[in-house]
Amino acid sequence: MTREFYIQQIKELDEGLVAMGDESMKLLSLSLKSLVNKDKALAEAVLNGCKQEDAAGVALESKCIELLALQQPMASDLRFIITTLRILTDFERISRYAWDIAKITLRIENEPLLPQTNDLMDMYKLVNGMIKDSLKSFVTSDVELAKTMGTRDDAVDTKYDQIRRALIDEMVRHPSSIDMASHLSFVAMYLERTADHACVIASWTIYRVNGDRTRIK
Amino acid sequence: MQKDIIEVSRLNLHYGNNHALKDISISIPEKSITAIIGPSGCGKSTFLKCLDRMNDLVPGVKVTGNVSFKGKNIYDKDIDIVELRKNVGMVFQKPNPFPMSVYDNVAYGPRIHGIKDKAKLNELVETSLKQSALWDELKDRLRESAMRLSGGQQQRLCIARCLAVGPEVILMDEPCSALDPIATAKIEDLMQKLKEKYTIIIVTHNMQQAARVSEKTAYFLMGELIEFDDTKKIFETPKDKKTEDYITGRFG
Amino acid sequence: MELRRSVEEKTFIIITAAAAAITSLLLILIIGKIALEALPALNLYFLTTAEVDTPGYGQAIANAVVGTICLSLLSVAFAVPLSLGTAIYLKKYAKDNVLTRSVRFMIDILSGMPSIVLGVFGMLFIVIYLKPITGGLSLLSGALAMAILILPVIERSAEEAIGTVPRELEEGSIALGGKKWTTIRRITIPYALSGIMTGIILGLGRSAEESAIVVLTAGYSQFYPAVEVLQNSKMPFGAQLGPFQEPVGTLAISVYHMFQFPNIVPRANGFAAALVLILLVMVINLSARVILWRWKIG
Repeated sequence: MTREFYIQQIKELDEGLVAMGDESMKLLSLSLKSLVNKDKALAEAVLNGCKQEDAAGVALESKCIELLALQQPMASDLRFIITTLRILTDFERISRYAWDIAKITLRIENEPLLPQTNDLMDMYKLVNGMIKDSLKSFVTSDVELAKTMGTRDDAVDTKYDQIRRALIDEMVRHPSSIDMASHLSFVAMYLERTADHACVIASWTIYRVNGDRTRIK
Repeated sequence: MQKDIIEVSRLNLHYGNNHALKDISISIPEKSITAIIGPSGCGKSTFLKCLDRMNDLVPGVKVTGNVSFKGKNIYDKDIDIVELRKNVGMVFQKPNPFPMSVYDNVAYGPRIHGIKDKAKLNELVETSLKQSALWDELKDRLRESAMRLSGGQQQRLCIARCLAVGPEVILMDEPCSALDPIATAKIEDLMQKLKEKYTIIIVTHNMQQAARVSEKTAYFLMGELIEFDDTKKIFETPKDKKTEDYITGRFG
Repeated sequence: MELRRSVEEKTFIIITAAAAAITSLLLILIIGKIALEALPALNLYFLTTAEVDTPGYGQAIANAVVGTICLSLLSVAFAVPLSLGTAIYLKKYAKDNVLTRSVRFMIDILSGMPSIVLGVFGMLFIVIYLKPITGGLSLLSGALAMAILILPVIERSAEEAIGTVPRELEEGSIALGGKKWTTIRRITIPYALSGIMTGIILGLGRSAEESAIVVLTAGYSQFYPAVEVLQNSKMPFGAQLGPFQEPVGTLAISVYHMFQFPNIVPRANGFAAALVLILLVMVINLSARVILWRWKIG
């Protein structure tokens, strides 16, 4: 096969991107676990993991730019590189949310969590499923799976509204819980945003497969 | 909607036993640049030469099918070949200026078609040289031998020579492959200017050039037309896997 | 290894240089010897008087000089259209098949024909059979026979020259709508011209030095070739048109005659005539080359 070196680079880029996606998913999961279990050590570990993620993201970005400048990628290779550049930022955002959640863990000390935390975990299950599947659709080029993100995001949005209202209720009823409730509010927002990112990842996955750039909302 | 100036239908060409062009059907839009790409030996130059019947010069060539220029099949028995070649001009891979002065080169076409009036010839030479961005460089050197020009100038001279007979279509067979990048860039700029008035069909083995200059691109492989579409579509989302493999450089 | 190679190199340089030296030496020897022998006879009288105006035999060669020039030019005039036409036809129009290859083969045989054979043919056919047209032994007969001799020479050079014309130039003309003859006239022949001219010069030189044909077809004359009409009842219309239908003197025959009668004609005269012939051919060659050079530069 001609252009072996170049094909190898594309393959490595692909693997690097999937690894980064996996890692950001894991960091999010761990950050929530650290919050629920009030595990400060775990939170610190998550913070470290996020720093490494950032470095990995910069490296992947450099690789994309290099390939564009030097190898004149065309057709599916071109679409792949553009997709990579776009969803890099989505993975960066997701690990940013993991960072923020870990920070919250470190800030709440030993304050008791609110009962709404359970709803949060339910919401997380939905979101986690979305991220996992969006990544899967990217790896397996599954356009149909990618298209399911739209409706699933709607479900997450509904859940988000629910949790926010419940937290506001709690703050009204027990003003002492305002601090905690606002933290949890933020966590819910991060999860909702993560679901949005899953949609973006799905959109670009579809572009990579067939050049169609309609956005999934 | 752009009209199609050349319509090819089920064109087949044999060199003796070699079936060089297989059932080609394609419609070329007017006043635009169409690029033909493909690996060596895929038939793209052969196809180009069918459009002005330069293939007739090759002994043992057999052509079947229909090649219509503005609605008339150029392989009909009653076609005036001289008229055809006036309407469909050709620029070759290696610049081939005649061993004469710059002026005589450009005036050659009009002269052999009967134009003797000096004023008219002067005007044609000036217009053609202006259209190929050579007038400013050469207006004081018209009597100089064309063989003294640089490669890029010679090729632009050949374009001017072609324009002087007033074609509607200009066929270019890898016009830049013997030129350096600057000369190439000048010719590509020239093509962009010319496409406002002329239809240009360019055969090139340089994919990036095809991507840069053309509106539509055709991919040939082993005598067959594999895919023909807007250039943007061909280079971003080609439909045929063979096209994709060629464009991404995956051979063998 | 190094040493051996340089010894080999040096040996070959010496051998090839020696060959060149010997060749040049031979030439100088031949011309030198002839020139030496010719010296006593080389004077203005010898060179500028027609033989007819001299007492007896072989005392002057001016008529032969003019005759040689006329004969050569006339032969070339006859040969060029024929050979050029043949070359153009074979190279540009005819398909490469058995027929064209046979024609080329025939031209090759013609070029290899001994000049004495052509001379005999000339004598029988041109001189005797065509006497009413050619006037028998005459300038015309000689030129016709000579033309046959030099035809292959010119044709081959012309064909080769036409073959060197780059196809791209001809394709360029055709792509502009040029017809075949237009292209040949405006592109092919001008490009091939120097090669064609070389062939013509070769033919010219060849005809100047040829003797066998001249003996059998051109006869000999002590007079200058002159434009005149003689009365001759054996010719149609009773007229013999000079200089064409009259015999003509040539240097080759002069040399021959002069050595035929060693008792009457001094040896030096023969050598002088030979020297003049050599110089004449050299001048033809050189001046034509100069003309070509000037043409190319301009």
